[in-house]
Amino acid sequence: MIGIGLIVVASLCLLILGMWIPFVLALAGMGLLIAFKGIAGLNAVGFVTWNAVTNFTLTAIPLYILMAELLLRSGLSNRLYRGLNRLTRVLPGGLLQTNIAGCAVFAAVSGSSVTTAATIGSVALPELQRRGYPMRMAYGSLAAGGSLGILIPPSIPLIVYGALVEASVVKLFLAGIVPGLLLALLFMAFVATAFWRRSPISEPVAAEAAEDESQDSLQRTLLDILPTLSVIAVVLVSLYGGWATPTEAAAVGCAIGLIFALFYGGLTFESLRSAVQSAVSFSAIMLFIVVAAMVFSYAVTITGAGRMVTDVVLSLELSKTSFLVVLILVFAVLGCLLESMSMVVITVPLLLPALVSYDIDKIWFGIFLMIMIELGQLTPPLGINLFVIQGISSAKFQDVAVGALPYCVLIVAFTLAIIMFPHIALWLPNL
Amino acid sequence: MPDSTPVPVRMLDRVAGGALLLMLALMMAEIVARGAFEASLYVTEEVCSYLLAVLVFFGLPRVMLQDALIRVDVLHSRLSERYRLVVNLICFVVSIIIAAVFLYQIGRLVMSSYRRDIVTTSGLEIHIYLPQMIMIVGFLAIFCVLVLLTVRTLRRLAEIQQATRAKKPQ
Repeated sequence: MIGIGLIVVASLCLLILGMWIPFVLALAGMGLLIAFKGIAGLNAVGFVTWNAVTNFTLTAIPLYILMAELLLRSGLSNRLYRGLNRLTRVLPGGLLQTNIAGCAVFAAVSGSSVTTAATIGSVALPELQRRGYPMRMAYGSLAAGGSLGILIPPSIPLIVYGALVEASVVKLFLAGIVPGLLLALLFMAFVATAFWRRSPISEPVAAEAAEDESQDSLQRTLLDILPTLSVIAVVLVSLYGGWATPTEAAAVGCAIGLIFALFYGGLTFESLRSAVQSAVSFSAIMLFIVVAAMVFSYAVTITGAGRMVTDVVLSLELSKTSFLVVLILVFAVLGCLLESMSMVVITVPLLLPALVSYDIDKIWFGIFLMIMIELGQLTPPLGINLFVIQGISSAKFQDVAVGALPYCVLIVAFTLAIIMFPHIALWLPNL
Repeated sequence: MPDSTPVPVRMLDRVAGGALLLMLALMMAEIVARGAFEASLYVTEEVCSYLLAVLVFFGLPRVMLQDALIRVDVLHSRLSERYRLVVNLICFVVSIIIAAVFLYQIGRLVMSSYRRDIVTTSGLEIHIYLPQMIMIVGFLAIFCVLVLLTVRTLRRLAEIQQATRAKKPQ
């Protein structure tokens, strides 16, 4: 027991000091193995690493990242934002509605919240400033909209979760669609309520609206939105039609992204090289965490540490609902300290036995976890989306955090709703 | 600005990029073969898994040199340069030990696969120790990068120490 205590304390200290997360995870895993099994416990580390890094499910991750990078460089995000703006500006809140709708649509071609927030944020912020929108609300809408990136498929943390718990990635993706869209609608309803009685933001909106009326607005809108929608349609239809695996769907998305980048963005060798390099770096960062997490997960399983956590939880004699409410609190705190992937890989191996004991559906829990991560991405001091928006806008961190606060409340309320009505997430994969 | 990344790390990064493009090409070839000719390449899944290993382990050294791996930053960026370097030094030394354990254990796995002459059961039928060597090369590069970062940190600490001594009144 003293050995375990030392490992936990040493790992936590190094984590807080700022040691790279995959090395902390590997240290915790190796430490547990030595404490329970002696040095011989490390013998399986090589095999576990090999199995983790050659897991075919994970090959989808670099391809989805490359797809988003190619679309980003093709300039489609600008067109998407412009097209959606024509559709949503009649709603109260104008461009703030476009922010959320744009993030929801871009989330369907990007597996990451950071990419979604950064892409739509960099397009939207200059326009929002020019038109005099209240900036705190603008920052909040972009940070919160960006967080939809990991819930609306494809989602990189969902792929990793699927690999960790051995659940179907296709079912997880299906389960994310309805909650993702509902959450987007909830965010849009909040913006509409906040702007209900306010006067229109500024003149340029009316001027541009008049200009569009004269130039076949519908045709231009379709031309702007259709390319992105076609990528989404091809990926989703091939995936859910059963014609392609998640990895193949990602490859198809990449190929279309490449064609659009050539067609719209004048793809050069340099921009392709830069897209590939970004995809390699981001994939290596994510997948090294997964490799280390597999070692940690193996240690947790083989040493029975997960069972111990479950015993402690069960000894509290909580009902299923109380257990989930406690998890909301735990994840809210963890979300202030850890980024999305780390939250998945640290908590899932420890919680898995408890989930089985409480008879909690793995697919449903995946969606619950993603929503909790969304919350973590919006809570200071480490809410990654807050940093992304702050980085693009050069605003005060405090302004971005305050702007995102109402969305945190909405996310918690939505989480309670999916606890009470689990079919929100489960009806589509169970069809 | 010229790229100061060591040449071997740059080369590994390029190989990782090539692996990603090859993975994409293979997946597309598999889709076309299946859709148009109702055939399969049979080796796509296996080769893509090996390419994933190349992408991760060959892409990591550059990421580490750029200090782009994810960390919890509640304290790190708030420390003065001197204390941050000391913290980095501790973290690098611990990371070197972990990388060495990985390297040793992966080395044992590769040797075991070699001695037992294990061949994959797929269409490729290759000796498994060959793709497993990817991990050896990758972790060796990671180990070297960690040593390089430790040396750089020590040098910078020594410079700060000297500057502090020089500032002190005689």
